[in-house]
Amino acid sequence: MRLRFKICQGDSGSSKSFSISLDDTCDWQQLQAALLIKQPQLEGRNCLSLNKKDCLHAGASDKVKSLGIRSGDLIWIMAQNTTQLRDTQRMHGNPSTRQVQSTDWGAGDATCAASTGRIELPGDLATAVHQILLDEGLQHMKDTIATGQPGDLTAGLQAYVLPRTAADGAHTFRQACCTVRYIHLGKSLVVWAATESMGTRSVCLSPDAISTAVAGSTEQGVVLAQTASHRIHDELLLPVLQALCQEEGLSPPSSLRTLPMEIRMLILHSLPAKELALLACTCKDFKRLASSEELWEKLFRREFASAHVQPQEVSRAGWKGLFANAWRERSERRRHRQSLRVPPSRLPWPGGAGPFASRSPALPGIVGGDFDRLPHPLLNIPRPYGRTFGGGFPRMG
Amino acid sequence: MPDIVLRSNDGADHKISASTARLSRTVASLLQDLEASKGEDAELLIVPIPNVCNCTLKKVLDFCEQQRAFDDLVRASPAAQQPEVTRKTQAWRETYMKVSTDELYHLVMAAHYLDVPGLLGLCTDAMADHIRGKSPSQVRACFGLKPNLSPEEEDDIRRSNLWALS
Repeated sequence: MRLRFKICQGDSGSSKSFSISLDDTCDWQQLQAALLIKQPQLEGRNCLSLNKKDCLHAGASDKVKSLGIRSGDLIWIMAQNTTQLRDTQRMHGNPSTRQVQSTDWGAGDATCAASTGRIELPGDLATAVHQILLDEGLQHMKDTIATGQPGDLTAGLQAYVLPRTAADGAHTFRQACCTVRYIHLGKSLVVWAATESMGTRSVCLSPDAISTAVAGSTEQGVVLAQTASHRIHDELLLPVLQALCQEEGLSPPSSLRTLPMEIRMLILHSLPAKELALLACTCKDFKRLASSEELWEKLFRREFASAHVQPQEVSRAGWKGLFANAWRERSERRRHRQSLRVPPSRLPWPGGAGPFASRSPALPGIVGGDFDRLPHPLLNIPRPYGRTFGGGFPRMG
Repeated sequence: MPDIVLRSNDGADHKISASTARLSRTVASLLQDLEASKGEDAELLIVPIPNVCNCTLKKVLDFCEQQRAFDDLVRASPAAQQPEVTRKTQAWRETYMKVSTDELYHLVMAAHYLDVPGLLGLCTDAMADHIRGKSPSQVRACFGLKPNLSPEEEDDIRRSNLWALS
């Protein structure tokens, strides 16, 4: 691979660039050595960064590729003191809630800033991915290989393990573990995951992976857009889960969870609304899937084909909310109609007898005529749809 | 069209006609590549199917053959007999789909990989049928899902889905 380097000279603005050709499988130490041969004056102060902000942390034997560095990448060489300054600044901000004003970024971000009102740092993406991994039942080991400050996911390696039950915790000597590295690449985030049997896998997320304006959502924090979370699930999580289960000698995760997202969505598409709502109560994963707007829009259009929907209503309540409202209203109407229907035993002439043959016991004092067919005013049943016309028949059915 | 051989990942061979095999879009594109590289006069093409085991492949091919026969029948029979043919196919599919959850899982993965259009829809419908009519706790038990919702979240979902629970 061929890497380009640029020396960052603080605020003076002058920068010098050069490039180095390296073996594809070279490790961190070899990279440093090659750098020193090319630029001997950099001895002792070469802190490398991909985005001019965050220093790359790596052990001597880590492969360069595993840090997310690809052929053709531009790497900044920063003076040690400027990085320290940045690091102390970072320590004061809570990484999960870091937000910057749109002016901090270049002019190219103006569109992004306009659509969301704010720009998320990749750290927020990392938090969202971390949350997905936790939701899927992995356990985060807090005090492992991480070299950075606690709480900052993007510093060093993060380790995840399968949760142990009390029974198999007793004879534990070695636990299969998955190491995940979150790396900033500009505003994007690259997530690398590695286990012993699987090797390495990576997913690159761009800043627009964060879903904008989740209608009717009560979820806290950052939520990934559907396509992004599907990608994390299929390309990262499933292989990791399967590899971990295999290494631990456990049975693979259950069938419904290991299906690719595409198939899962197909299954959900062939479920009726009520089943979908019930499925959302089973676990976090299905809660997320079963609240997909696309799904509910389809259901709404099928179930309430005649209803007209204003776009602003959709953006306010979301399709799921609209569906729930329409459903509630419809069942209300049905119940109302049911209450209007005069039960057969109360009909004035049961079984062929004449209209004056029997008196209805529930409606005393009125015999025959149209009065019998209307609900009694004392029973306090509201009249259907305001005034009734014609013979005063309540609308049936 | 000549026959071809599909080889599953555990080494079992299935000999079928190429036109039936082409119902799977994955096999169709593989065949195209193979024919281009070997030329038309190759005696017997062997297509390896690395992601599918023997019994699942057999099941998928069953479907392909039936689908093929059904298509021929539709083309041959007059319009008056169409509903009869459709009814027969429906009945065949119902018995075909009587499989355990585990088999169904392998079948749906194979259908996805081999890209057999009708089969994937059939499988997902069958999966949905496994879910249908079950309460949340039954679904969890059936598919081994872990209840990982916090009490507040569960409360929230229950409230927003009240219309379905009543």
